[in-house]
Amino acid sequence: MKNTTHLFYLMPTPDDSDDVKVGITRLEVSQIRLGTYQQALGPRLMARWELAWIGEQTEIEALEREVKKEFRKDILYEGRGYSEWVSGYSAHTIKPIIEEIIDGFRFKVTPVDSAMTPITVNNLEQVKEKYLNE
Amino acid sequence: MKIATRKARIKSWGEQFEHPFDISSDAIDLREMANNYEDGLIPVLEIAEGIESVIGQPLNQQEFDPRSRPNYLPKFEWVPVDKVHLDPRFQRDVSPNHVRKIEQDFDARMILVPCSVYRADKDIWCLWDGHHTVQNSIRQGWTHIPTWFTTVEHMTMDEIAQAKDALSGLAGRSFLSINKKNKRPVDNYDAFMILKETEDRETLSIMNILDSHACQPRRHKNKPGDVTHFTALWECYDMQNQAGIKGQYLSRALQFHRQHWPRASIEAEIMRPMCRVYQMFDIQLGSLPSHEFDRVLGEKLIEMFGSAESVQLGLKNKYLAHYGDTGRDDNPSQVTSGILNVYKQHINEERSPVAPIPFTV
Repeated sequence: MKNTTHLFYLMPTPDDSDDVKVGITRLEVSQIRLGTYQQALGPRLMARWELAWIGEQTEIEALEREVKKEFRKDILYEGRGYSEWVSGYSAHTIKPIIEEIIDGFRFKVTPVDSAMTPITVNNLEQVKEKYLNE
Repeated sequence: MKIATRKARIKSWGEQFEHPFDISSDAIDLREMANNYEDGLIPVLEIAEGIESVIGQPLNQQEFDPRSRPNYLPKFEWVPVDKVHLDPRFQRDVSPNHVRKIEQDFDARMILVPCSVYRADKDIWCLWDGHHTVQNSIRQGWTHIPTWFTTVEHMTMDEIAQAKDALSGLAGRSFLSINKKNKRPVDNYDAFMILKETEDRETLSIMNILDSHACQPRRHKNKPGDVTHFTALWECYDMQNQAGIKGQYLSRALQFHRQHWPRASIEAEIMRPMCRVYQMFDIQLGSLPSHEFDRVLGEKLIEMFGSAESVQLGLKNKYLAHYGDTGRDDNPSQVTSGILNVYKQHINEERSPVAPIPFTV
């Protein structure tokens, strides 16, 4: 049966400008998504999920929905590839607000161990191993 | 890069107002928007600007006085009742029960003016909307009825013969347009707000309960405490306690919800099952559970499932895992039993009703 554990991630822009992408992926197949981002960046830059949370699909999807609702006015562009970028925040400045949302909704999600962040194509398998087997 | 023109338009229009309000394609929150006006009255031209920000510029952008165009608008007339006819091709059957229903509330100040097509060949007006109103006017003893009507002027006899069908077609399209295609039904939110604003006693009582728990009626879930499911809200309110008083279980269920999921909108399938749980306590055991019951139950549900939405989905999944496709119980019953099963199987500190549907959680 398909493992429904999902991951909610915060991804910075390659040039570290004040924008952050909020996104989700099914953990079991997350290497496809992160690999695609890495592919787009080329070999000299590293795609990274600066911070991430793990949880069941319904919780992660609801978290993403509420975060997008909270930052609706800061998502300046629409259309494929644009609608998940929150402007004016980095992963670390948006983090306390996301933690407030998690707490207020009592989302059953776990922050990815800080020893494993940022998540890159190089350590994603360890993250999967740890959280898929929990 | 795709610039969010629609989004930018909406944002730009919304920013001119000091008091924020929701703007989306299916609703502009006029009740909140009205807070931007000292007298609470909104000029329709400003609402039109809001609509334009959402759906773009109108197809016709040139202003004109519609009265200046001949045969552009329907005309208005008070018509003798014996000149009013009905062509069943473009009107529904008449419902005597519906006539009686209107009659009980009849108020001449509140009628919508019936619409018709004028048949010059017979000098009669054929209704395409408002037939029940006309029947009520007759029962009130009116000799004339008001009508908006359209017609075709200056026709030859041949044209009139053809026009009968043309007029019928016009009337039929008008009827379908007003009654089917373009009619925006009054949804449960609008109905609730209208009852509130017209000071309906029970609606005000519900509003007091909502206010006391920092909840508010809304069309869509957006903010903490938003209540959007009005069928469930009324059902919960209508549950009477042993003393015959309504609203006690609703109040307690909202308190439970707000206490444990303070940032969430109200999940109907937590509110309603909790009302049922409280009612079962009251009826079967003679009193409501302790507040400690609420605290430990809420904490356990959060520990097991997390958010309010996941609690109800999780409990339904547990039911499904137990009964599979053979389960026939409705959602509120599944969640109500799920909650009682959680308490019994994981906490069981005080006496509690037995879940009507047993399953492992």
